[in-house]
Amino acid sequence: MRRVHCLLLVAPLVGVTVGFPVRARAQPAPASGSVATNSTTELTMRAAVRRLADEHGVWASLGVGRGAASLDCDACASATTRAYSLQGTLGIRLSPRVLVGAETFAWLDVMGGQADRVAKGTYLVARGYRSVASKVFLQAGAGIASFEVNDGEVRFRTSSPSLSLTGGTDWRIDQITITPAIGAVGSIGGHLKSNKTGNSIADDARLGVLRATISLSWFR
Amino acid sequence: MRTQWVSSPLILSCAIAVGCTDNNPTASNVGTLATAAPAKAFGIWSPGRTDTCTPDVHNQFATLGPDGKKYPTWHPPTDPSTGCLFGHEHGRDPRGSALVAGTGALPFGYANEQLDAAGLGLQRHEDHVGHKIEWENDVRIQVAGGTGVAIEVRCDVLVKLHQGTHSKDAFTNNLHELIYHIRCSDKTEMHVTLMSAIGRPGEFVSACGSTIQAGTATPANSPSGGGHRRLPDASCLLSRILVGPGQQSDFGHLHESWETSNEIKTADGHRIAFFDPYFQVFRPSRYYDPAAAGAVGRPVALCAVTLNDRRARGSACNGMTSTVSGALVSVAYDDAASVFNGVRRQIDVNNNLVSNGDGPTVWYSDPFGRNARTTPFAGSIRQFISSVNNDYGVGVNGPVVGGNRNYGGAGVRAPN
Repeated sequence: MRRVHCLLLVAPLVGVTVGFPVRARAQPAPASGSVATNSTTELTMRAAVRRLADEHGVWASLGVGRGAASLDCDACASATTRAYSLQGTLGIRLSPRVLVGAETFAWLDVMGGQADRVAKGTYLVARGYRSVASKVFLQAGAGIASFEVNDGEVRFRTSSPSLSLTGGTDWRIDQITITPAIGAVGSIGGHLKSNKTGNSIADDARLGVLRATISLSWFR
Repeated sequence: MRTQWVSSPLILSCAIAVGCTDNNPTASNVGTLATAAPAKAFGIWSPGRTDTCTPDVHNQFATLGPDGKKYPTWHPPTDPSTGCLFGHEHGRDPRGSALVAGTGALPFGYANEQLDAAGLGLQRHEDHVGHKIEWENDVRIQVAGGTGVAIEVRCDVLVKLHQGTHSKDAFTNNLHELIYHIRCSDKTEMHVTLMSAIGRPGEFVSACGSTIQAGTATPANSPSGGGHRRLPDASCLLSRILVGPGQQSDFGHLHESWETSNEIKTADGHRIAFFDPYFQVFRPSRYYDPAAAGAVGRPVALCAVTLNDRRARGSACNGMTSTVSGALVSVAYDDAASVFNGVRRQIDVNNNLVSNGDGPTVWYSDPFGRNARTTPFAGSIRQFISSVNNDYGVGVNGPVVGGNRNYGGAGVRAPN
């Protein structure tokens, strides 16, 4: 029992669970003979990715969301505001239950006047399904997040390493998959710098974004 | 007992300003204050005809300067122990400032004292009543053009300027002691004491805008500085105060604005810090009048002046006059009943620029903020400037503080 719990905890991070994938992602594409034939000569990264995609299948999604973001620092206004976001993901299937890829999102809050705030992030992500048949997944990622504050005549921006964690489910409707999810990203230790001088107005910026998203996903 | 509370923060300031190791107010510290040599600024106040405190009572409000000498410091207009009246005020009680735990009591006249020792060939000592303190905690600094909804810098500010508004001094003299403490959430921090050269010596700017040559400064070789002293003068004032029937006097021109421009600079010209607060006084007890004795006109006297059908009209003159032997006379300029006593003031905090990203926090400059270096020298003043660069490419302006306060009280009168 304890081992099962451990597996469940680790699954979102490493995607190692047992079971069967849902049908949309359950049928790996047959290996391409030409790729197999040429695998010894095509050693470029692009070839490797193509081979993985051909052998295991690709995964892509495009979504919109709404969520709250806050930038916390000694010189930051404390307001946490809600706004819309966009996100996109592209990856490959390592196994019927484990997907890996890259995900990017942008969150834009027009605050009025000359003020707006933009949060962006790009992550390498791993998505794990509890079982092959499960529609529910957990996804974890590591990457870089940035937060940009435009207030008046100057823009301040921070960029720092970030972690993301997302939970969601896949709803298969005919040939498409709709994926609602809730995700959070966080980062600490950012230097909030002026775009005009490069001087930092805060060295302790902490970013948090919590979003509810809905995406269209494709599994091939 | 009064000495103890006054001296305690002072000892803290000693610890911060000159590296003393004793941060605790002890009996020996108090003893040190009692035996310390007096600075030139100490003991110079004497009571006027309506002041009921003795010099001894006044001199209990003292503190040690970084040089170990005894300086006057803030006190209330009324002595809390005896209830006697000093007749003047020094602005806001600094003990409420968030910065006072680090700065301690403010020694009045320390920069003037250091100027004596600096070997620059200048001496400048100022009267006692002109030392005015203002402070505010957690004020918001505005990023230029910004809304404040995303970026919000907040600061604690504690300032003392010698700003006498009762005599002819500032008509010609541009050197005035300024103590400036600020600590902000963007890590901007300055604890600076200097002689602020406010505009050019020998002249001032009229409240109506023209430059007026008022004589020779003391000292005559006073250096020029940025900014200016905008003061009321007769040519500008009289036509606005003495008005015809149906008009109201414009007492708004009876207003002084000392617009300072200060910097701490190294010998090679690198500007480590810059700040330019404006100090404004409403209804001072003087204006420049070259036709008057000592070139000093008294606003309250205008309340009793009639030129044909023109006279001062407005609530400011209510209760300022009486009829004696058929003649309209005003209260004396130094009567506590006069509302022209300079007790309403405000400070525009303005810019606070630090360019010290890789530098040390402790600098020693001459009394004008020049020739800053990392080791003390004769007549130098220890300045604390945080190791940051806070030039964000736009103006970051502080707000107005103190505008809603009135420091008048029992017995407070000109000279104040």
